Amino acid sequence: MNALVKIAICDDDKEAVKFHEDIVKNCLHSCGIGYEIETYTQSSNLLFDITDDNYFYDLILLDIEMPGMTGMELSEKIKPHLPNVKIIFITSHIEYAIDAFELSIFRYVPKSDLTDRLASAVTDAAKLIEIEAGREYIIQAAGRMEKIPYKDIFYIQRDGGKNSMICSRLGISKVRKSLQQIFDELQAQEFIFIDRGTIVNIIQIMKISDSMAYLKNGKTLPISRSHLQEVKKQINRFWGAHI
Amino acid sequence: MMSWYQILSFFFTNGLRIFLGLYLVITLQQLTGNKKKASVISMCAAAFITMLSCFPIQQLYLTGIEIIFVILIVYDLYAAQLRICLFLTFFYEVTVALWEFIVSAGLGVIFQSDRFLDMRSNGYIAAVWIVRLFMLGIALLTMKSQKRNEKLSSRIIAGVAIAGLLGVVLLFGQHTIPISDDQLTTWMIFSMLILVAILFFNLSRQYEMEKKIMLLEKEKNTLLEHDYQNLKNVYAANAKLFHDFQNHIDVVHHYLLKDHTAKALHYIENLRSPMQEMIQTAWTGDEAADYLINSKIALAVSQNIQVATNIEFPRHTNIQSVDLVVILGNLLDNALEATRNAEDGFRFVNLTIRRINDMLVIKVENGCSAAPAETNGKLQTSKADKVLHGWGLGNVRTAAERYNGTVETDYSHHTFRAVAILSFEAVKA
Repeated sequence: MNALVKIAICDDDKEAVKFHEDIVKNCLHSCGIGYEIETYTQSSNLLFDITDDNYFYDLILLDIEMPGMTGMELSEKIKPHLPNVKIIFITSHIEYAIDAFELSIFRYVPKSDLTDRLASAVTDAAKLIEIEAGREYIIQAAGRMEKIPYKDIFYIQRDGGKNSMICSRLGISKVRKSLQQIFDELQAQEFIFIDRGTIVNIIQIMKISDSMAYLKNGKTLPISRSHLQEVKKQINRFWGAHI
Repeated sequence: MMSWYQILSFFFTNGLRIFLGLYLVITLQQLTGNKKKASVISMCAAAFITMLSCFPIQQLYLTGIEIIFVILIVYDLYAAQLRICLFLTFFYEVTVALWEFIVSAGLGVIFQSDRFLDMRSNGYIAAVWIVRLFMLGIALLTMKSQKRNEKLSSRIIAGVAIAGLLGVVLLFGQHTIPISDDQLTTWMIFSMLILVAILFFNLSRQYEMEKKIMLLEKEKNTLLEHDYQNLKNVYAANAKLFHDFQNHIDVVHHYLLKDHTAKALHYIENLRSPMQEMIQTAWTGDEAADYLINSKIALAVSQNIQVATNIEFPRHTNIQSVDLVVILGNLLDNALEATRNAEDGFRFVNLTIRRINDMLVIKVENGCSAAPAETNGKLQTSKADKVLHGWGLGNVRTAAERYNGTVETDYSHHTFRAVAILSFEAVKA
């Protein structure tokens, strides 16, 4: 996996930016994760880079208490452009906690315990980004070739006979292969069968409730009774091993 | 003598009866076991009973033999409780026989002929097949409703029993075919018995469930009480401190006046110790859980066990603090218990709590030099007091299942890992 984790650091205090950057570099070095860092001292610059110049970031470190636009306001404006971005807020308040409603905020790090907490927050985020990054599924058919990144796949369903369809962020792609064949080709532990005719990407599962899998794209898929225990077990094993 | 098609029909109807009886016993008690073996043996049993029925043996004995077969199968292959199985199969057979009687008599009334009541007649065989088809239909319905996770079976069973009673009452009123009053009265009594049996079964099942819940509650309460006691002790220590505050100030004042700075410092150090215990780190924002984590960390530190934490707990979820305490308390207790007597390199516990999408992941790892003992896929406690401590992980599981969750344990590279995953819902504050 050679994809770089793209990181932005934004704080109105120049020294703080440097300090945060050093912590990030140190901890990603020791984990052996490749990265690219951009630093900002003005929140508006970061915002324009993203909204106007389509800069892409996996992870953004934001100071909450900034003059002009606060980190909170900034994150609200970034979200529509980078729906999958993970934001780490750095704050001088210690009572902040991530909210169950708020999905893009990855963590709050208090300045009082910056060195340790920031390092573990960045490592955790980078690990998640790494799981998602990398491989692509390639569909080759007469006259066309389609590449779908694994992380963009929501689920794959049988589409009558020996055909299947892949539902991803890019839309629906039809493949003239059986579900089992695709499953064997994917070779990735994040893909699991939730019934005989459906494969789901674990990282897209928001939660399991009443034998239904709720996916990030808002879709809910039924899990068959014979698969339910195994599906829960695989989700448990997957996240148990990856966090 | 019976003709070949009668024998064949007998074989299939007997087979179906045994098979569906097994299905009933297994679904009602939610047993799991070797399905293939059970089917093969039940086929053999059907063949055996069909063979016996060629001889002039009373139906009563055949039914008895069949009950024994069914019980043997569930007892041996599904590890079921004998008494409940005997109860269920007995009333199952009675219900089936009752309905065979009602349907054959009903057909007799419709076609105005009493040969339907003769067990060797074709009319009776037709009646038996009608009953079997109904039974199959009911079984399919239950299977379907189970796929949708609905509870249909108890309503169907009650319906069948009440309809049976009504059927017998209706037969009392007819004069088309001669049925002896004795026979009708016997069936009447049986149909009422079936109703009573169902009532009894449902009541006892409810009782069992309540008993289980009560045990769980009790366990939870002891856990909470234990933690409450700890907290109370800390508060008591502080209350004492406040009580003696004036005296302490006097002493320190006295030392400082005489320039005994070192002594004053030492005195204050001593006073600080209970205070320090009160300094709480807020880990999750949930008071009970925070207190639990803090006290477990303090315990670990006092036993020279390294604790690493990586905790991030989302606000505004539907996760109850009692459930959190049960899960964290048991998992941390297990980890501390395992590391207590471990060698130096393995004296560590890692606690990770993370939100992944709308799921909460709680991971507790501890060092151990060898894989823990397992029997029948269940981990064995190393404690002497096995009765109480067998409960821990089961409690965690029950608490996790309330949130559609799971608990898995795993051992690799000298690390034992327990992971609980709960699916939560965001709730408005």
